[in-house]
Amino acid sequence: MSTDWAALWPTFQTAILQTLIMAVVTIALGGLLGLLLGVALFTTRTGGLLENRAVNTVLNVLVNIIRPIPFIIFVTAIAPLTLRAMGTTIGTTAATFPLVIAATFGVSRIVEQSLVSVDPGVIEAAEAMGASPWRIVRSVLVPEALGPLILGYTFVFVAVVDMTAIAGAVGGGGLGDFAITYGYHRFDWAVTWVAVAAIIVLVQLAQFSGNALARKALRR
Amino acid sequence: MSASTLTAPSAEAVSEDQLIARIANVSKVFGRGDSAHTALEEVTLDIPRGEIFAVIGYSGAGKSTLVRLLNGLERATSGTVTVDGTDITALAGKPLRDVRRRIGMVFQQFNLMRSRTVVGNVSYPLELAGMDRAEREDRVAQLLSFVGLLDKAWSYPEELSGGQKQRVGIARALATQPDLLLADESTSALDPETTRDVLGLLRRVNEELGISIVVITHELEVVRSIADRVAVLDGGRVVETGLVRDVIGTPQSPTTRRFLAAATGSSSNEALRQHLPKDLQGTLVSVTVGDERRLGRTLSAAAREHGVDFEILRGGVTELKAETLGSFTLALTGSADAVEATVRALRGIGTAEVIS
Ligand SMILES: Nc1ncnc2c1ncn2[C@@H]1O[C@H](COP(=O)(O)OP(=O)(O)O)[C@@H](O)[C@H]1O
Ligand SMILES: [Mg+2]
Repeated sequence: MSTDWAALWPTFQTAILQTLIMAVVTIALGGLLGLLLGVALFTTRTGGLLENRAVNTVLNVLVNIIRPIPFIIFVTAIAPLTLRAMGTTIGTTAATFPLVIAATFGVSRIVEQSLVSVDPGVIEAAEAMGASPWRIVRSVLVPEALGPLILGYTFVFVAVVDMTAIAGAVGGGGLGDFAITYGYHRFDWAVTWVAVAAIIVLVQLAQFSGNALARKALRR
Repeated sequence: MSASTLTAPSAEAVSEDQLIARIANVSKVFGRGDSAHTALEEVTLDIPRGEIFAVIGYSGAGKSTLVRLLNGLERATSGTVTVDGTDITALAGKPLRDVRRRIGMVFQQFNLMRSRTVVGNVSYPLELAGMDRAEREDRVAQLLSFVGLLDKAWSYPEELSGGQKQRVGIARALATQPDLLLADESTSALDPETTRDVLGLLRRVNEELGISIVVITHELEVVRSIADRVAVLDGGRVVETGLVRDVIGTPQSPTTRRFLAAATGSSSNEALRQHLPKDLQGTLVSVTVGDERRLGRTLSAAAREHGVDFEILRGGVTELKAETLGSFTLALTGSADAVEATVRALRGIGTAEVIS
């Protein structure tokens, strides 16, 4: 069987674009929400800037419940919520909803872990200089943890590309959907490999840029 | 408890407006119930303005807790802490942060931001104070020149030696022109030579800028070389406080004596007795004088007038911040009256304690 590449080309281009949109929107929105959640997890710890046992326990339990759910199950489990929020459960836009939520919880732990690596003495010094907790978050915690944060976000981006393939399989479009529909279902391995190659290139580019940025932040 | 021989005028009680800080009946308990741990117990200290006040104690004595009370990083369980006339015990949030901006703090591990250059670190408190960029640049240059680090302005902390990092820490602490500087073990991570440099810098901060300093240390050398006054902390209690020359010259508490013994290698009176020649006659007297030459003159005079024989068994001269302190152990031989008269004469020039 020979593949009709000319006919598939526009579909392939759309699939790449859809994957890129899902991944970028997810990393942007989920990254921001995850940053806030991660900062909340870190600052409400015992001995933290905004120590609050109740809030910390609630957030931790929430993150621990949501994070381990396999994404394919998570997508179907929150379909009713997706329907209510986006008006549909089909298509790239709808698929972005579960992606953003899952990424938020994943990012939050990575942010928390990066912030733990900041020298507590530096935080104390800022407190001693009269910096407010929010100011310390912005001007000390994030800049001091920038290297690990960039690497963490790169890791999440790669995981998000993986998740977009799953979202695609349940109606979100993108490279995952493309590989399944035109490759797997038609027994056309060449199409599957092309989709895989596109994903590999995307992941490599992301990892390469992430490493370069992190090196710059860490000055080594 | 204070030293018994407070004679100099500066040792007299200071009135309240001459104090930069006052800690009154402060206790600090960490945890509660079974795990409760009392870090400070009924601590009362008056810290005079314009001086270098040292707090010395062993690890775990409560020194860091004490100094952290002064900028509200730690809250007293009971008692009051007054800084520059403001009771900070009840403050929180913005008012407390405003007080902190008038107090500088220097740390053992320097606590500089890795993500900022020397300039960035020193200008951080100025950014907090809302100073504009041009003004900040001037002030930072001024501060770096004061601590002698202009050539390292654009270096990152990891490119600096320990002593240079601490200079940056001091410049940062001075940035907002505080009235009070807190230094918690600021030289404990440094080698002896760098320690001397940094202590010299702290002294300049006190003398040239008129900033009151509280230094926390476990090294007697730090107290000796820069402090005017000292409090000895043990097990969360102040066991002795006073002018450095009095506390070092005539230590009253066993803790202070242990510090002195460790620093000078000298031994206790009982141990001293054991090491002396068996045939040694006479009364052992421990003498502390500010001017060691007067000791010789006084002893010669006593020998002439009272017919007392003396022998200097051991002793030495210690350099303090602004004076020297001689400590000697003498054996006096003669009639009881003659020995007593000699001891009286010695008390006229310093302190004298009859050991046996
Ligand atoms: N945040 C804290 N929680 C519980 N115990 C503490 C805390 N900070 C200090 N301590 C305890 O209080 C005592 C005094 O500590 P610290 O002031 O750090 O002593 P120092 O600085 O003289 O070594 C120690 O026994 C220490 O374990
Ligand atoms: Mg300490």
